[in-house]
Amino acid sequence: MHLDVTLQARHAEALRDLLQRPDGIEASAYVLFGRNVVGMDPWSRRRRLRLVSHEVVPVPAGDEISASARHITWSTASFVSLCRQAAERGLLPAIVHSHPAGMRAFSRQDDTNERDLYRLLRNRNGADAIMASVLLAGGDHFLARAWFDDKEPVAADIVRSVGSRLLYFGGEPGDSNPALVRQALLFGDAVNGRLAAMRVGVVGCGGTGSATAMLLARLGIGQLALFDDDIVETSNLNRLHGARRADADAMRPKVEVLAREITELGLGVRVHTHRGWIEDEAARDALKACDVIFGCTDDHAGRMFLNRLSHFYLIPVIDMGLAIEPASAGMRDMSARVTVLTPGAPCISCRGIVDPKVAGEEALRREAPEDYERQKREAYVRGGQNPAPAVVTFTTETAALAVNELLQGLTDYRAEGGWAWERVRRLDRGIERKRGAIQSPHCPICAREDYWGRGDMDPFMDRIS
Amino acid sequence: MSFLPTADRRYLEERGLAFREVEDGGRKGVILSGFALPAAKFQVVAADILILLPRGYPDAPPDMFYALPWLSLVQSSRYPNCADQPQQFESQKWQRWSRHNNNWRPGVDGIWTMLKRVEQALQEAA
Repeated sequence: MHLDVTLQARHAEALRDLLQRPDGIEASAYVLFGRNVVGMDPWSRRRRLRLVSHEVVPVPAGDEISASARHITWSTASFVSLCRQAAERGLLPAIVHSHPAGMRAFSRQDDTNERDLYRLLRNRNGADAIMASVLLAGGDHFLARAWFDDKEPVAADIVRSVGSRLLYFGGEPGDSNPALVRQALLFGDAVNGRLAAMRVGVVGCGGTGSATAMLLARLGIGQLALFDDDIVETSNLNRLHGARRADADAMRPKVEVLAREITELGLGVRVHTHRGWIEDEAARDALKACDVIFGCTDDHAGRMFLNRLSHFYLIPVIDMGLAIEPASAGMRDMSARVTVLTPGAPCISCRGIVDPKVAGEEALRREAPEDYERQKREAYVRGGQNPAPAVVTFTTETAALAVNELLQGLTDYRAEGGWAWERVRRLDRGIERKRGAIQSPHCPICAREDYWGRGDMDPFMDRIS
Repeated sequence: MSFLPTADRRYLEERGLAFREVEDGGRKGVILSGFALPAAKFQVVAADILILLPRGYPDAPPDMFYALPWLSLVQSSRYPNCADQPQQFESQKWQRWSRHNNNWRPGVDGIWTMLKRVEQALQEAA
């Protein structure tokens, strides 16, 4: 079992506020985590538990029985209440405490305290109970672990913070890659190591998706998951990176072609492919195993799915789109768009990028094609639209814009403090700007917080699958 | 295992409607059993109403609804307008009511919206 922990950035900030005390004494708080169970990680081939922060729960005043500069113990009343909440809401309880002096390790006293608390939890919630523990060291570093029994805890491989930046704590990067020395001259070995450890999904492997995947591979991303249901066609060859005429003739799946091209780069990228639709249950483990996902599909239903995924599982989605409106339709519009989907950002629904009705029609076409055709004949659904213009320089430029947004989140190389929630580049005018959006106050995804870090639940992502 | 989103399940339970979650031919939906019809309007006082929920609902909207038995108007003894096509579900031929959703607001709309549309369509049927 591998374990990792992702905190919402606002939770990391709240924990710092709660735990930073002027007297330098250890302090504590609670967190309720959502559970992201990856039954089979596509790269390690092992079970993985990813904890995602759903809610920070302050410890009530007076409930810290004793605190000193070096140790903390807990009253049990509020912890028992936390256990009850966790059981009722399908979440996982966690204790958080600080080492103000900065010791980056759990102490022996921590072990004793936590073992006692774990036994309390197990007595109340049952033998399969799991308790997490997070340590804030020196105010700027997080460690985490989880107790599955009262013997020894499992240490988390990594702790991440997801917000306007993508921050990692721990999991020191491995050896430098000779193929990436020129990149290290700008970003350093630490960034290259971080990229090598990342698991990145690419949904949709057409013009923008194939470019994105190739850019990510050359950037040094260590693990890629490719999702597409389609095959290479002659009309794609103008823009599908890596695709050849022989692939179109052989009707080869796009994911297969890309995997071949990336493997042949010889850069050591491990590629997982899913030939099929991302809403398939068979795609779930691979999607949930990703740290970041690039949305390169123009499918409305697919985008709405990724919109939910980004909030339920704290997996930032970098969605992209390319709009080319020929001049005959009035004002020419040639725009590349990159939108970050993550808690705190206006979502793709509020931005008006997806149309619920189109999503419903797409679902009908996939689920019940005969009914779809029948309703099309009766003019109840719009048929497929005419083919859209597509030019490789624009699809690739869009992909570069999106991959650079990943770099921005990791490195802040633009010195803007973090991600732009949306960036639009007018390809015909050479203008780039950030675009704001007004969130609908009723939006269940980005305005309400019920789904943020909610993790696994029934039904999956609280929608019809 | 229920596949209904939590808000929908809660709404139907709180309203006390007899319903069951159904799946057939890869499609999912809700059947409202013995749904009360407007008084003296149709040849029966109640019918089963099927609402199909697309994959992605509630982000993606439901569309038409379906009735069993087929409802005909007492006044004219015929099926209402746009309610004369069959839809196969659970080995039965349901009467398709072609009423459409042209507005759907994720976060605001849910099964409650659809029920209001069903009630309105039944009331206005002519």
